[in-house]
Amino acid sequence: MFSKNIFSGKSNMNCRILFIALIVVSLFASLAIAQDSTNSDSNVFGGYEVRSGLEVGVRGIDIDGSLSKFRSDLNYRNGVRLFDSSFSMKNTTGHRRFIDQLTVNASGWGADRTGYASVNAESAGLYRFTGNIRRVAYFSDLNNHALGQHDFNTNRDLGDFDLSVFPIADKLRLNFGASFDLSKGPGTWNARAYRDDFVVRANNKTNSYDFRIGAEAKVLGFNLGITQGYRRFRERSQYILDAPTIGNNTTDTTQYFTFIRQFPITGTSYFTAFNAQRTFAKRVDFTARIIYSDTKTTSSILEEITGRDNNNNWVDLDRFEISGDASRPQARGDLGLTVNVTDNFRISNTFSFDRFGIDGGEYLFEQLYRRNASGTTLTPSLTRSAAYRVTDYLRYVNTIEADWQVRNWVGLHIGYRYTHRKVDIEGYNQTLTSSNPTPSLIAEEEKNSTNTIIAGMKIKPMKNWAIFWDLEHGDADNVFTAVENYKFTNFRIRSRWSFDKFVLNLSGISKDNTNPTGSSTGTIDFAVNSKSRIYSGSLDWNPDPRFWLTTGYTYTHMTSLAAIVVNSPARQGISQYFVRDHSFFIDASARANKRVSFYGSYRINKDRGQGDIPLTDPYYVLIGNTSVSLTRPQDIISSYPMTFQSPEFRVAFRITRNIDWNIGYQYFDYKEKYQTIQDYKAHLPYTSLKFYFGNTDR
Amino acid sequence: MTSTKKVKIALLGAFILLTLVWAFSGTFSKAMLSTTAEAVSLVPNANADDYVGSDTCKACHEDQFKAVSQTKHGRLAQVADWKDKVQGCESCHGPGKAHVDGGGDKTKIVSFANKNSKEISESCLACHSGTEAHNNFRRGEHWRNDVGCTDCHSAHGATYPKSVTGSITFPGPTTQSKPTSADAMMLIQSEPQLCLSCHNETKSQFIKPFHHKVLEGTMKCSDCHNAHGGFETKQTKLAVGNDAVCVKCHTDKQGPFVFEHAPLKTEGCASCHVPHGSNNPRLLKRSSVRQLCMECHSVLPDVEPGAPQTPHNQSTGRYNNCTVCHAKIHGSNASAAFFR
Repeated sequence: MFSKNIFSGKSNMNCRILFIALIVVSLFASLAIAQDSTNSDSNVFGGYEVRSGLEVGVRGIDIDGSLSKFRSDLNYRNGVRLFDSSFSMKNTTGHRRFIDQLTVNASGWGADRTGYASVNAESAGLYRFTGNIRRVAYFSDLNNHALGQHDFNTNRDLGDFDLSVFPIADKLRLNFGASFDLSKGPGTWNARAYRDDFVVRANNKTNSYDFRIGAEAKVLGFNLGITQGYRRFRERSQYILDAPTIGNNTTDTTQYFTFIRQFPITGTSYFTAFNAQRTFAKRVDFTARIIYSDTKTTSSILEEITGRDNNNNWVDLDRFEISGDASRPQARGDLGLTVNVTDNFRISNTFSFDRFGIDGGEYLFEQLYRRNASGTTLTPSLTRSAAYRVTDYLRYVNTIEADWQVRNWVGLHIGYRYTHRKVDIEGYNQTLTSSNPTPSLIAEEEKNSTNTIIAGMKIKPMKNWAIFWDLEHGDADNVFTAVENYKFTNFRIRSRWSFDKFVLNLSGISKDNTNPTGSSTGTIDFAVNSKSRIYSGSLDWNPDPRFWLTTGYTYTHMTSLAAIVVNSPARQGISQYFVRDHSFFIDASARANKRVSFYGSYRINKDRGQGDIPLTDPYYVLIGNTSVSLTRPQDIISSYPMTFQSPEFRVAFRITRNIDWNIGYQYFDYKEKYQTIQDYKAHLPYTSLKFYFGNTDR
Repeated sequence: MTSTKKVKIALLGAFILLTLVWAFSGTFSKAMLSTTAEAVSLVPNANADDYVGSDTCKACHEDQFKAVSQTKHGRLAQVADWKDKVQGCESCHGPGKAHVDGGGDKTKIVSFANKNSKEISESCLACHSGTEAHNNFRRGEHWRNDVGCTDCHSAHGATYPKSVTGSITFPGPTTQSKPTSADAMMLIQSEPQLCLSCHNETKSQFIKPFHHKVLEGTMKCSDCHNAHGGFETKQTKLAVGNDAVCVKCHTDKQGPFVFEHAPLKTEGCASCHVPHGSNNPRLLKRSSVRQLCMECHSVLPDVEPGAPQTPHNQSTGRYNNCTVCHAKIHGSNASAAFFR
């Protein structure tokens, strides 16, 4: 949907200025410190141990194939960019200073899809500050989602800042925090009218700001904490069409001449969180948490359409005014208790409850002015309607478990979890202008209770080898999926072995979800049957400070069968989905001599999907004792066979003690099995200079 | 009464009984009385004369002393609240006099080399419990699976490997050579390598075409997960008080909406999305949207709940992309069918 000329996303000026300021300050600080150095072999300056690096370079891009898919996946752009930067200073004087430790990192700014900058600063016992800013150049233009009609080319700017004053004091600790999230940019979206749907231009714009304030203190032996927070959310997106267009249904008469939808939404959220903890004599650990929040949304939509409807009438104006508001108070409480019966045997109980209600109402007023095909004015249609929904949700969970450290090399745990959930949804829809304004009522109640057993063990056959396994078996706590309770069995096993300079990791994860309690009347007597197996291994080898290698392989095997009903007419069918995903990576780096270092890597993700199972030929699965053909019109078989691979290579030349020159190349190759329209090959060569200040460890 | 209920009552009863028996035993009473002593020491009944001070430790353990002195642990002496507490090496390793007098006898000092993960973690929690992030560590996944504090943190401060060249887009071992926020947290490695060193299968999800930008360094595992436990499943964090962590950034999905897609708040985002990474657009669980939708929106007899059944003829291509019309699928303030 987007063309190539929007390759340049507009940047948010504030964020850019902040980023540049951050880098300039880091650079100047580094340079100043470097010049201040009286001992070229030391990285201690003015009582601070300093480590710093800055890599700036230029990247080129050549794309062969789908630019849209490339941008949706990667969105790298050519040009000057900050590949990486870091700056750290640590107080080595042994006396407290206003800055005892400062770390600044930034990467990806300039021509990447994501940029990141973070600051950590603290003075022992006085304050601790963390801040980060993220920029995401979000792009999506895919033909395999929503007919390629939901596109985005937005810039997201996100930031989080947290300050703790007296962060390790017992008597009183104060916490302050603020966050922002700004999103802005063009896109496309769908608007629906007259039994047809149209692509419209979108000007997306949302922003939210969060503020937090809290205090923690030790009172009567209890560690207490309270946080009060507030979020303000605004959406000011617009959807516009100012040229005649036909909809996705090309066989009807429907047409938009003009379309505009103003979409202001305002939201607020207040919350109060309280927590308490105390460990009694190293024997009983008690934790409690209560959170109350109240979230509200108000919206007022104004929409105007001109065009033709599906009865070939001229629509001179179809105007909607829709106002709605919703609120959601929520209370959550948690209580944890652990009793150390002996030094090696503990019993824990965790209880949680969660309750919220959503209370929302909408009022709609539609004015429709039309002429018939021959131009005769039809009676204006004025529609007023109202709708109301109330959701009441309650859930509580109790988990009791015991863990026993049998020996230092073997420990095990066993537990039991009980969950109960109840959801009530009520409401009505009412046409107020109808001659018989009787509301149609909605009432639904769902509840379920689940039981789960938990067990696990850790064994250390050798000091440097640990094997973990754990198991959960029971019912999934989901009331709104097609089936009430999935019977599930999840099993994980991990092994981590480190020997000299090797670290070998192996893991296996198995997940089975079944529900045989489907239809007893149809030909299919089950509801869902999903199995996944993940096998993974990785190896790290670091025999020498000048060489490292890391490699890994993961195989994901998943098959899901679900009973579905397809219209029209209603027929029972099967939905089957396959994943046969092989993922492999290898990264290696070596320093050939004092001047030259190499880095190479290769990553591939290959999903074979349904493999050789054809899309159209007869294909049978055994369900129970019945062989069912899945080539009926009511069956959906799908997978997404594709290959995504990326080799990367880099050479670093040490020019001076403080400067490296790097040359690198990345290649991305994306291929789909069933379509080629989204395939691409991308070549990304780059060169950069990396400056080191105060770091002699390379 | 069903057998399940009997089991539940028996288990809860056993827990309460054990707690009561233990609570009224002499051990508990004595232990309760000792909570008034706030001195941070892992060795009970130690006298002030048994402590020798960190400078004494430095004589033999200079490297460790130097490393610790630059960390938060090393700076505790400068904090007013800690002035009357045991500080330095002996706050964790216990009084050192016997060790010194014994000529460095390893049996006369607290050593963590042969302790199991839970014992080590209990030592750390003596000081580090009390903040919400750490409060549920004893009931978290890592505790349960015997992963202790020092599996991720270094009490003496992390050491940096030498800088080697590496990828410009994906962090690898080379990232360890540069200072990051991990340094402030005294982590033995930076995120995400630290987490991936055990959760190695997760890395494969982050190299799929659609993924959260964790390997690129824009996000960290700890942005969404609390490694120290928590009350939420998968040790996820909460956002804005009571909402799922996803809402922290995906603010437009926070709602509430007048017409809310039921799974949004009650089941959570992971009902439809794979959070780490997926080959499918929008991190969806299925490559075909209609397949995802219809696995719930098919009212089979005898199966709860009454989710609306799709009335559309699936042989028509236009109806194979549900979200083209049901565009506001997360929730809408204007349309019960999520049209606008």
